[in-house]
Amino acid sequence: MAAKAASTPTTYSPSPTTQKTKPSFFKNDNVDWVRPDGRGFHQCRPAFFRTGAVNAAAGSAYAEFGNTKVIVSVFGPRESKKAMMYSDIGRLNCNVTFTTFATPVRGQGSDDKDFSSMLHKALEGAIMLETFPKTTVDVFALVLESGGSDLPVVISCASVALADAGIMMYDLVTSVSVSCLGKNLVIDPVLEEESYQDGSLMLSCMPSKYEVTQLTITGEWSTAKINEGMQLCLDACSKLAKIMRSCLKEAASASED
Amino acid sequence: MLGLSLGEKQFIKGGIAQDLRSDGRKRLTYRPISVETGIIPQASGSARVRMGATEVIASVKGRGGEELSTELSVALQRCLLGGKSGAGAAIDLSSLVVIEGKICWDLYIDGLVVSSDGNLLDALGAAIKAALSNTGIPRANVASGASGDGQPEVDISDEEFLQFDTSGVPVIVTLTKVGKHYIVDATAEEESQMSSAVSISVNRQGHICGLTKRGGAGLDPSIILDMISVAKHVSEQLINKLDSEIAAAEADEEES
Amino acid sequence: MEEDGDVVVTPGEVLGKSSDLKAGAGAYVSPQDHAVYASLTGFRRILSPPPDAPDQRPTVEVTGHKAHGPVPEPGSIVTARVTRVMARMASADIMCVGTKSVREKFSGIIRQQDVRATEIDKVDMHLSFHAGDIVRALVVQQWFQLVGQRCNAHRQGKLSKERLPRLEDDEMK
Repeated sequence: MAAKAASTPTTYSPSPTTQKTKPSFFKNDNVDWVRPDGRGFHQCRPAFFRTGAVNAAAGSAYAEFGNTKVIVSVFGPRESKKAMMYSDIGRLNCNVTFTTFATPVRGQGSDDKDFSSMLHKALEGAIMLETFPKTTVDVFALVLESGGSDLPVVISCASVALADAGIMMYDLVTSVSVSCLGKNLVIDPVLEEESYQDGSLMLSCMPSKYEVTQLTITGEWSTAKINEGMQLCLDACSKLAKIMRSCLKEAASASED
Repeated sequence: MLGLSLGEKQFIKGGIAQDLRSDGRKRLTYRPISVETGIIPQASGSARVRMGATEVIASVKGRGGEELSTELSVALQRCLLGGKSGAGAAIDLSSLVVIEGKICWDLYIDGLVVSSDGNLLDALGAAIKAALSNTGIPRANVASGASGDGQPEVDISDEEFLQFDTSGVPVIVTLTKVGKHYIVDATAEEESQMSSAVSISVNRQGHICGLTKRGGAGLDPSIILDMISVAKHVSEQLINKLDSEIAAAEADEEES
Repeated sequence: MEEDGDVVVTPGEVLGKSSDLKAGAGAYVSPQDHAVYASLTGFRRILSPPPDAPDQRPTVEVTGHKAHGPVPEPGSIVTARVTRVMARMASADIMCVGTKSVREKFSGIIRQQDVRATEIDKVDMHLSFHAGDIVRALVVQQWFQLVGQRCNAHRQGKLSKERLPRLEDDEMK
């Protein structure tokens, strides 16, 4: 990466994303290349969840997937602000922010607005909004470190935080993304892989109900590939759900003692 | 939100269940589409698309412009830009290059919703496709000798224009799920009754170039796959219909 | 069957079939597959039906761990502190819903016509309430902004207003 930067001597930008060409191992589809962190193509990073990260919040959770680290805090249900439109049922308000040091280049987090609305769309189907009429539940997600697959981690972490806050839900929401690199599909991509990807597929689902709450695809995909990608994600989602459930159970048993 | 009575809601849902919608269409029939191109003289390319009472204008310009409402523009970006590496993009981005690695055209696409009666994304997608095929980017001649560092001199021709190859631009098909069935080209009334909607952009090769879901309700994975195959089928007809409309509109423009 | 309190469940876990079990608090029946799912994190408890009940299915509940703070709804009896008294209404902050204290701020208004059942137009709000009074009240309606335009008291964004039965009115003179 430093080689590229040398050609523009006036300012030095340490961003790996400014690199225009792919590293050679991504180019050749036939040769088995190794992922930057040595995982198999269909192997997720180890996931870690912990509830109760923020004391002031009604519920909160911290999640760490490799270098991706996020904190989600949930407030409410509380009185809806006056500016909001009238609604019979409860309301979900989501906000995703990046710390200024989350990305390799300071203050260059992904499009926050996009993330907030995507988080909202992924979660709203799972929450029983009618159980807190005319009030608002606020979900604040903070990406401490962006290490790839940020949105899926935020979504999964938010559903743990909601469960921790005691918000009634139909099911947890788990989310996993795959990147398409050449002919290969790699699951749970890291930042580097995401910057070279030819396409991405992110799927959020309610694992035990086997329902998809959100699906976004970018890039060019054939139907067979979508099928494969979805299967990979669904499979990973149900495994991720087990980790999330055991984290919640641990917290619940601990509070009993 | 539309104020619909219980009876009206039932009527819409019942009609969809019986494959006869309130305006007489079948579930997978589009409203008549009309396309006009070259309606904004200031832009490099522009088009107006009408689908029933939905009317949108798209303009393409070499520089400048404002933003669409975030959700729609994000969805459109997803459908048009392809992956981070540029693969699968609707427009061949290399056609925008003036000097490799130094100067390129910035293409700004603006969408304007004139009147909204549902299915905005599909209409905008169609308008953008039409506007892009109407777009001419002025040929830029690079003054030779200005190699190496420093700002090269570029002479922009105002007579010669380069046309885009728009065969790769996908169309967007939004399938709106009402009750157990899904419909294409939903009106605003029908959209108010939806449980969820999936917007799929499909190109001529039948490849999916983007997909996004709206609405809270969850969907079974097999239903999504079914929707994708339906969208592929519908998109073929839509692309053909659009292409002939665009060709007709261009011919009209040249006459006048 | 009464015990079973040590099993911790999380939202979305299947608790049983709806033909065998009734869903109690913290559980729901899915219309698609007729299974009973948990909707909260907590301890699973199965309660036997009373012997004379027509429905002999036991009820499954998810209780304990953590539930969100109470939210006032129409019909709730709330305890509130009066914050401001005006000629036609008083505003109050809700402190408890039933016996549970609220975790977030919920404000309400008490309208003049809701203070007592008779001679409602002769109520003098200033004689009925002082700022700081603790009142017990019934939530009659949840408020929304569109109605609030007429009266400047609504600037603060009232959520609910309460009717005070006459008894409570006497309590504070």
